[in-house]
Amino acid sequence: MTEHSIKVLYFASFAEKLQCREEICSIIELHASKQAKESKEMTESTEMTVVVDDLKHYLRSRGHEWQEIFSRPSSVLAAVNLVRVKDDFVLSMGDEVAFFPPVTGG
Amino acid sequence: MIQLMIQTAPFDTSAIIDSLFQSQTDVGAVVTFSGVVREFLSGETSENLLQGIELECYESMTYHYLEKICREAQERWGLSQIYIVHRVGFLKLSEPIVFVGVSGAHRHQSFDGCCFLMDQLKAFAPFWKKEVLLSGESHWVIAKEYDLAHAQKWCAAR
Repeated sequence: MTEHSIKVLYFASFAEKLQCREEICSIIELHASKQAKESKEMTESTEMTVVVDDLKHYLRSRGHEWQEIFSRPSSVLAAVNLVRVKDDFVLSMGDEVAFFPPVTGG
Repeated sequence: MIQLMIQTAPFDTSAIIDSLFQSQTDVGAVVTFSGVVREFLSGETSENLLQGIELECYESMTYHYLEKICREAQERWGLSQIYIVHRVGFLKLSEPIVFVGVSGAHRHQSFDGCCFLMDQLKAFAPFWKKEVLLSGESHWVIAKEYDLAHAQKWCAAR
């Protein structure tokens, strides 16, 4: 993992549908994706941060399966560095982000 | 003392219960829960359609989460020992999936502590079950709303 990246993990039905369990995402690419989305509202002074929802937005652009999973907010749970977080959680370099469906253990 | 195990191998429930009895002399109550693989196909009527279940887990997050709720249970009910075992991988019908055992001074603390741990595990620990049918087909189990409600009642009770 390079210093400008985050690790993203997918579990259970998500891993199967997306055919991906683990990948490295570049923070720079996430910034670019966010900038493209918000270009109209952006001002020069705005400090650029990337939150979980920006990552979901970026992932949705990858195609049908991705769009389908990440467009249903209530059925996508997220964790950062092993702790459940909400969509407005700010991501930092080196974070381990995980996306998974509601849990069914026990 | 807290002991947590996530493992593919089957476990011996009675050996764990024995270890809960061999703890400190101030222990007056041991309460245990065992979860077992059952036929729970929603809407199906035929019997013995299920071959078993496949359990997946986000292991590092599960250990992290279970440690947190065990510390909370110890603090809240003054439990002496907590033992949690959860299996992953393929499990056949009627095999134990999960074991939660606690020891404490009195029965109410132990009952509540054990129930709290199991309710939290069920609602929040990152495990996922897939039912594998005798036909070879499989599908992911859908999470139930009432599991979340059971977990949340412990917050309200505080």
